[in-house]
Amino acid sequence: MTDSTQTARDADELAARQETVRDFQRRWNRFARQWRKASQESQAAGEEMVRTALAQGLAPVTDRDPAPPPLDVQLNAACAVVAASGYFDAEEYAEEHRLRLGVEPVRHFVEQGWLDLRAPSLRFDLWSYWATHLDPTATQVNPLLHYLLVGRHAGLAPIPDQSPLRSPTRLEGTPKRVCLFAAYDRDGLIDDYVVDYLTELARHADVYYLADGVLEPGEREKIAGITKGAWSVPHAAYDFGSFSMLARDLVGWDVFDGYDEVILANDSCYLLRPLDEVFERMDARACDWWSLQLTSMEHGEAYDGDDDPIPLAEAKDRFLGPRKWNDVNYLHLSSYFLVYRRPVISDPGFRFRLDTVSGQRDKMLVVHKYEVGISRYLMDAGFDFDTFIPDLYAFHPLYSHQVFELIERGFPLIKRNFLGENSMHVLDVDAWPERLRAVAPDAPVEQIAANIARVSPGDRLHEAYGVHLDDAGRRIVPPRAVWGNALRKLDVESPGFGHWWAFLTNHATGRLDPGLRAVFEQVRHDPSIRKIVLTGPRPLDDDLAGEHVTVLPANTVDGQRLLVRSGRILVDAEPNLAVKLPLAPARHDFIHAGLGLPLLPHAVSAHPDGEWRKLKAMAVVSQADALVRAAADPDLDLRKMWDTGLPRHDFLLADRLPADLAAEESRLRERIGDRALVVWWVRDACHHTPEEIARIVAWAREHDVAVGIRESRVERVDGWLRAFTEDEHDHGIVSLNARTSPWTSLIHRVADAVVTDHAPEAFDALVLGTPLIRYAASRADSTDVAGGRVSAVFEGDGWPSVAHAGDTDALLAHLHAAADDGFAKRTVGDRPGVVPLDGQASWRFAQRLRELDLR
Amino acid sequence: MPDPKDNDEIARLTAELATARAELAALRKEQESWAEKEIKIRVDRDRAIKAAGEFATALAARLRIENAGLGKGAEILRKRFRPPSRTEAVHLELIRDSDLFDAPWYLRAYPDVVHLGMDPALHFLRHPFEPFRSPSEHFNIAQYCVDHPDVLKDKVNPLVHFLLSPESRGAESYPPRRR
Repeated sequence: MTDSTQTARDADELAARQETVRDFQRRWNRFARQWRKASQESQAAGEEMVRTALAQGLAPVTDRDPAPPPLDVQLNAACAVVAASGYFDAEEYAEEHRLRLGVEPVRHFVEQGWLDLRAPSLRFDLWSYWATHLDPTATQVNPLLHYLLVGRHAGLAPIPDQSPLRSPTRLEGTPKRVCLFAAYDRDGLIDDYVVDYLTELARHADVYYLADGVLEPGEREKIAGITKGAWSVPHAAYDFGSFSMLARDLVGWDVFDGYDEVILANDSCYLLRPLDEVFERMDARACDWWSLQLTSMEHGEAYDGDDDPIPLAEAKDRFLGPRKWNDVNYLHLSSYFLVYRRPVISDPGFRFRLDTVSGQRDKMLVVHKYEVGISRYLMDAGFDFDTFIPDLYAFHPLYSHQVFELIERGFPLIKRNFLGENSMHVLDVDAWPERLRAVAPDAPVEQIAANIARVSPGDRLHEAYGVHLDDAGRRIVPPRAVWGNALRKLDVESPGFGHWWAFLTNHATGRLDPGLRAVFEQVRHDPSIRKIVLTGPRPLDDDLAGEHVTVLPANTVDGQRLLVRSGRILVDAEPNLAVKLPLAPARHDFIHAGLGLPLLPHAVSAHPDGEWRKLKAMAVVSQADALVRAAADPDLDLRKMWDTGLPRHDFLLADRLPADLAAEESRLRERIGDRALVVWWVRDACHHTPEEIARIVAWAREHDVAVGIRESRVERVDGWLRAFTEDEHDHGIVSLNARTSPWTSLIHRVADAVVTDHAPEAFDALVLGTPLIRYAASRADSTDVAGGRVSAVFEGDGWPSVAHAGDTDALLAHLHAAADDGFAKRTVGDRPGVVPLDGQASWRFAQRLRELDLR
Repeated sequence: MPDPKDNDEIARLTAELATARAELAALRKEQESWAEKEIKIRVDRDRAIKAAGEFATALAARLRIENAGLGKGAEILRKRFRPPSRTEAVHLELIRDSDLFDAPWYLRAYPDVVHLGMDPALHFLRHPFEPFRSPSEHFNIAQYCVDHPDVLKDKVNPLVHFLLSPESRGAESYPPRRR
C-alpha cells in the first residue's frame, strides 16, 4: 500500500545481511571440506586446523563457490569448532536446557539447540548477534560459528554493549497516538469484546486493525467506523507478524512520523475499564517506551523462595544487564500492550527488527525472538522504559494468583488464556465472574463469558476450572487425559458394555456429523442405551438433551473412562480420533455410518495407515457401493457392509427435523432470502485469477443467486472465501463454512445447485436431485478420469446425470444452463439394487447396532 | 383413515415397549455395577497371581543361592551390599521402629527389591528418590518433598527427615489426616 523509504532501507539492509550469510557459507564450506580431509589423515591435524581457524578466522573465498560438504561432515566440523572455542559450557548447557542423559551437549547445540535459541554459554548472546549481524528471517548459519570464525576477527561483539541510558522522553501537550491492533479469531469473527476494546482505543489513538486469518464476510463492517484501516491476511506469524505487516506493508512507517506514540495491542485480553487513567498517568512519566506491567520469569523462579513484588527501580537494578540461559528470564514488556515514543519509533534497529518478523515453527520462538528480543534490544540500547503497575510481580503475573490483585490496583485488562486455560493452575478460577465483579464492578462479565464459551476447548476449561483446595488444604489439579500404554491399561482394566454407544463430535464444527446425529436421534429417548457424546476442541453446539445422555470433553480422564467402557464407537466421514486411539478392537465395535457411492474418482482408494482395519461394519446404499468400497480398501470386505442405507440421508428427506436443526434451517433460509443458493463446495485450493472469480460473481449477480462458500480449511492464503470476498461489500457471497455455519445436511436441503469436488457431498446432492456440477479446475485428472466411467454406473439406473466442468468456461456454461432452467430438481427414478430412500436408514442402522448384542 | 383399533394397538405396543426398555435399563444398570466390581476383582486377582509368581521365583532363587557354595551362600549374599554405616544403622532403627514403614507392603509394591534380595528397610533408606518410593501407604513421599524441598536439595531420606522433626510426633500418616 505504501512504499516508505524505511521499508526500502530495510530491504537493502536485509540484502546486505544475506550477502554476509552467503560469504560465510562459502568460507565455511571450504573449511569443512579441508577439515574432513585433515582429520581423516590424523586427529591431531584436524585439531590443529580448528585451532588455527579459531585464532585467525577464515579467509574469504573469492575464486569459486565450494560445494557444501555432506551434512554430517558439517555437523562434525561445527562440533569440533564449538567445543574448542571456549564459548560453550557443556555441563551448564546440559543442566540449564535439561538435556536427557546421554545426549552430547555440543552435538545438541550444533544440531538443534541454536535453532531453539538455547544459549551456548553466558558469554555469547545468540539472538542479539543473529539479529544485529546476520539474516534474522533465515536459519542457515549458526550465529556462534559466524562469530567464532569471522565475526570476532572483524571486531564484532559477542554480547551487545550496554549503551548508557538516554535521557527519557517527556510528552508535551496532548500526545497524538496511533495503534496497531493484532487480532486472531478461529471463527473469523470480530467478537463484541474486540469491538469494545477497539472503540476504547479509538478514543485515544488512530487504530489500524489486522486479523491473522480470513474474516467472515461483513465482519469488517463492524469496525469500519472505528478504525482507520482494517485488513485480514492469513500469515500464521502470531501478533508480531501482524504488527510487522501493518508497519511495513499496510500502514507504512512514514505514517508514524506524525505521531508521538505508537501502541501495539492485541486481542488476547478483555478490556475491563476505560483507559483514561492509564494514559493520564503515563503521559506524565518520562520514558521512551512503556507497558502496563513488567515480566521476568526469573523473579520467583524458586517456588519456595520469595515472590513478593519488587519496585521497578530495584527490578531494573537486579535483573538488567547480565545474559541469561533462557530468554524468558530476561526482563521484558509483553506484546499484549506496548507503547513506543518517538526515539524508539525512529530508531533504525527497532524498525529493522519489526520489519523482519517472519513466521516461526514454534510459538515459543515468536516470544523469544520478537516479544523478548525487541524488549531486550531496546533495553540494551539504553531506551528507558516504565510501567503502569509500578512493581515487578513474580512469574507472569497476568496468569498467576495475583491477577485480581492487579485489577484492584487499576489494571485495565484480563488475559483470555488466564480465564480459559489457567495454565498456572490458580485456585478457584471457575468463580471468576464473582471475583472479577468484586474488583471491577463495570467489567463486561457476560461478554467475556460468551467469548470463552465460544473459543475454549472443553478439556482446557475442565482443567482450568477444576483446581480447588481439598479438605486437607492442598491444591488438587484435575488429572489429564492419558495416552499410549496408560490408555491401553485403562482400557483392559475397565468393563465394556454393548449398550454404551459413543458419539464423537466433529473437530471442525463442534457438532455431531449428520450420520451420527441421525443414529443418535433413534436412541435419544431410549433409557436402555447410554449415549456418550465426547467433544473435541470446540464446545458442543447441538441440543442433545435426552434420556441417559452424557456429554464430556474427549480429552479428559473422565471422558476416557466413559469411552473405554463404550462397546460401540460410531464413526462418520473420515476416520476420526476414536479410530486412532489405541483401544482394543476386541473390546470395541467401530461402526462407520457410511460415505455413499464414490462419485468422484480420487475419493475411492485404500485408506492410508490402514486405519479402517478396525472397522467392524460400515453402512452402504447398495451392493454397488459395497463392492466398490470392499474392492478399494483391503481392510474392508463384503461381510462388513451393512445395506441399511446411509443414516445421514434421513435428514435430507425428512419432513420434520429435531427442533434445534429446524431452527438452524430457517435461519439459513432467512439469510438466503428469495435468492437461489448455489453451494461452492470445493476442497481444492483456489487457483482462479481474480477475473475468473469476477465472472462467477457477475453470473451470480445476473441471476440473483447467492453463492455459498464451504471449504475444508478456510484460513489459507489460497482459500475460496478469501478469493470471493476480496470485494468486501459483495453481499452475493455467503459464507457456509464449518466454523460458523450450518451442518452439511441442512445446506443440501436449502441448496439449489451444488458445485463440488468432494464425493460425499456430490452424492448427497445426487440423492436429492439437486443440479450437480462436478468441478475439478485445478486437478490434472479433471479430464482423463472424469465423468465417463463414473456416470456409467448411474446413467439409466434412475440417478440423474452429473455435469462435469474442468475449467471456468465449462463451469459458467453449466451454471447458465442451470439458472435458465430455474434450478429445477432432477428426477431421482427407480434405482435397481439400491436401498430405498425412505427416511428409515438410521432406524435400520440402529437396529443392526442393537442386534450386535444378540450374536 | 387408519382403523381406530389399530391406533389402540399401537398405543398399547408403544407403552409395552417403553416398559420393556425401562426394565432393560434397570437390568443393565445392575449389570454395570456387577461388571465394575468383577473387573476390579479380576484385576486384583491377576496382580496377586503375578506377584505370587514373582515372589516364589525370587524365593526359589534365593534359597538356591543360600544353600550353594557348601553352605556359605548366605554369607556371599550378604556381601553383595555395602553394610550400613553407623549413621545408616541409626536411621535404619528409626525406620524399622516407625509405623510409617511397612516392609511387606514395600516388597509387594516394588517387586524389583525382592529380586535384589536386599533388606527392604535398607533399600528404602538408600533409594527413596528416582523413582519416588513410598515406605508405606501412609506416607506420601512425593507430597513430603513438595512440602519440604530441602530434603531433595540435601538428599536426606524424607521419612528419616520427618521422624527426626517435631512434626512427626504422634503422626499416623503424611499428609496428616484431617479430623
